Amino acid sequence: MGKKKGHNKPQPANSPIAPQAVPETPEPLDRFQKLNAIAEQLKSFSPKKGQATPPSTPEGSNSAPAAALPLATSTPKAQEKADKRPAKAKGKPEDLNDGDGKSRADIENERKAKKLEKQMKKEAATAKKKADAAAGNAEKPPKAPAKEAPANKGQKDAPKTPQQPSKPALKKHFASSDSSDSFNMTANGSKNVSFKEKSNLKVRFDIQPSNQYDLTERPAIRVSSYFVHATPHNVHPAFRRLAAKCEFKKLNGVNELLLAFHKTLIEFVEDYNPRPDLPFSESISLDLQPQLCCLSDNGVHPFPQAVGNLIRLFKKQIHELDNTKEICDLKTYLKEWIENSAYYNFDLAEKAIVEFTISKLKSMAHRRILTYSRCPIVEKIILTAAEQFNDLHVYIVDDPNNGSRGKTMLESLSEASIPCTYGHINSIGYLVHQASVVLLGCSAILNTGRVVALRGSSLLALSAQAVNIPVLVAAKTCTFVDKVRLDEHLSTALLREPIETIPEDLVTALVTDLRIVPPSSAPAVLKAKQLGYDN
Amino acid sequence: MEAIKSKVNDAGKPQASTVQGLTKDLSNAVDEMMRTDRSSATVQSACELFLRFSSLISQEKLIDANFEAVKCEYVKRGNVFIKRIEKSRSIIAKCFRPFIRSNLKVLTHSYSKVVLESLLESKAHGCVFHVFVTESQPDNSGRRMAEKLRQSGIQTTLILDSAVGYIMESIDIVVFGAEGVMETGGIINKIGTLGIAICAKAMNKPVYVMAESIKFIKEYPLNQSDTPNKFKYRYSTLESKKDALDDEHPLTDYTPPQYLNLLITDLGIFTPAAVGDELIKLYT
Repeated sequence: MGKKKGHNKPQPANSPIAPQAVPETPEPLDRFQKLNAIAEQLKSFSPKKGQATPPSTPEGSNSAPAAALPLATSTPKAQEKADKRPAKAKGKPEDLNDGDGKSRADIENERKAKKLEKQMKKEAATAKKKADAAAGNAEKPPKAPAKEAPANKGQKDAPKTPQQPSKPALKKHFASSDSSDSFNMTANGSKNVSFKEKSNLKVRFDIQPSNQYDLTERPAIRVSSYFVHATPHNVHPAFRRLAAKCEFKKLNGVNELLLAFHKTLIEFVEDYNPRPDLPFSESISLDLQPQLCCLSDNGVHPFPQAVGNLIRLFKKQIHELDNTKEICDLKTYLKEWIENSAYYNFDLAEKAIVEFTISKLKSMAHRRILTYSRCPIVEKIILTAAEQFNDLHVYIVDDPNNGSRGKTMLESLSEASIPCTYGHINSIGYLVHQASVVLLGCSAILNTGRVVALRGSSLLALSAQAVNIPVLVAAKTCTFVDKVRLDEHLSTALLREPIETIPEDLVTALVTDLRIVPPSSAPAVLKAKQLGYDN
Repeated sequence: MEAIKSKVNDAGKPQASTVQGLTKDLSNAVDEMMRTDRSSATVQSACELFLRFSSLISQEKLIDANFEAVKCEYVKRGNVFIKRIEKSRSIIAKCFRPFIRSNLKVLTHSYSKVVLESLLESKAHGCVFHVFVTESQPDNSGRRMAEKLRQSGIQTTLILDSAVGYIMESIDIVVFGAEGVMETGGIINKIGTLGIAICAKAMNKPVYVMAESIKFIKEYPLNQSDTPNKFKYRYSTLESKKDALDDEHPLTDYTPPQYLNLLITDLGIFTPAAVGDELIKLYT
């Protein structure tokens, strides 16, 4: 994101949020022009050498070459733009899929192109000074960056090898060329290679990357963004903003995400103008598709369970709309439904859960609560309980590898002057002996009663069972899912937090907003909830 | 049982003149009964369910008729309720029969009318089995159970409470009654039940619980200290020693559902996990 800023025209430098906050449409064109300009420059250096065949670099047509030069990107990018415009007119999701698939290749190469450009620019600045000192020749400065850039790239490639498998191959080549140490020779050699890559690049873009490529190349917890670079034109900015917030960890956990998602849906419905040729419900469901595809990378990454529930229910509501009514009526109806859902599932549900848990805490002699990381519901429970009970003590276990969110919990609890103890996951053995009850949050409950929670929660449940203390899980009924199994290693679309499931025999009770329920009664809650929504 | 009968009689008395007054009277009667020293869990749940059942009169009848007719409805429904309960024990006995084979060794704890009736029924159908009964201190109620069993010709042995671990290896099945069945699927029964259940689980012996549906209680205890005091102690004890309950021996304990195999009730045979749902159905 930062690199993009370096290339583009001066943007408001003081905006801390990513460029995604700024409307997307002018940017791609800017980049496009800029890339074209740079491509022209490179072309002008040595047109003849472009035809010479350099020593072969063992590149598969599938793997992304290291120097994804902008020249090659321009053509598919233009294609992509051309694709998008008729796609928008048709508005069918299939077209979009194709366009997005191609664009993923684009994204990769653009990113690499930008990296290379940035380096080249940097080196150009430094090399200019050197070149001025050394030769003062007009040609040398362009050659110098060309040489130094690959050399530096070779070094930088080392940490990035998982992403670009062809880079080691290139690195080898550059290493051998570097051994010579003569300024001009290496420059020429590397330039030859770079031009060859350019020609290879053209071949590469015709092939779509397969899903397998994604899974092996990208680790389960991704670091880079997939939402922004080539968004289709028919995605509402509210969804993109949501994606950006998740990207920048402004939304932590399912609860905040759900609330934000509600707001996004309301914005979408409000701004929505239905197509003239279709009835309202059909047209809105058609146009909802690309938004969701954008967020979930065309279904490659599933939505987190609770969000999936919400989307499914929303689609159901749309389906049941009475199309004979006025459009504004329908819109208000949908908006009201979303607002009601937010109210029931957040304000009321949390109150109910807090009440039930406190009634359980009342009967305990020593209220020493052990909890994991930060769940907003658990925080509410503890804050409300502290008003009623004096002898509350909270033990917070945290995961330092995953954002240490327990620290925020610690701060908020300390502000309420609740005595707390904080430890990392390796101190669980000590802390569990001090506590008398374990209180966990969750992101979903499966059909069998298994609890889907942050990675590390099952350790608390297991140790609690070993020392015979009860485990309570605060679960909202909207997070109950009709699934039996979860693919835990796949990362979900909006939340990147690592997830695991806790077996149902480790959990003493699920505190839901309907009543306190044993985990084995999860299907009963599902049934009750679905019936409720039907009404 | 007697408690409910007395309540129906109460309903018959012409004291209240509105439906609300009637319900108030009934709840007062409930409170009165709670104040006796009898098994509180059963009384409470039974009364609660009775109240709900009898108040479930259809709307039409409520609106149209005068109060006398409404009261008659209440009494009628009360009687229906009682009849159902009277039958529940025999239903449970019938359900339990397939579990008893000949030459089986059964272990039971303390004195439970339901278990007694089920065992007698099985004996009446010709099964030959041996029953071990724990003494169940402090009130020695196991002795009463053993006498009644012997009277009907069943081979019985009275054992010490502490001898359960010793005898468990030769036992085939363990049977308990219950004073209350909780939402978790666990039970509240005479003190000592938990120990026997844990021992049975450790040696892989099946544990069956017999309870009528009126004993279902809408509570969710997490552990022993989480069970409400009104189930553990007699009312008189609670009143006199409100603060110094630590010295008092509880009369009952809570057995969590993981130590129970099946619950045999007049609504059917359930696993502990399913009891919670049945309970909710009852109470709605």
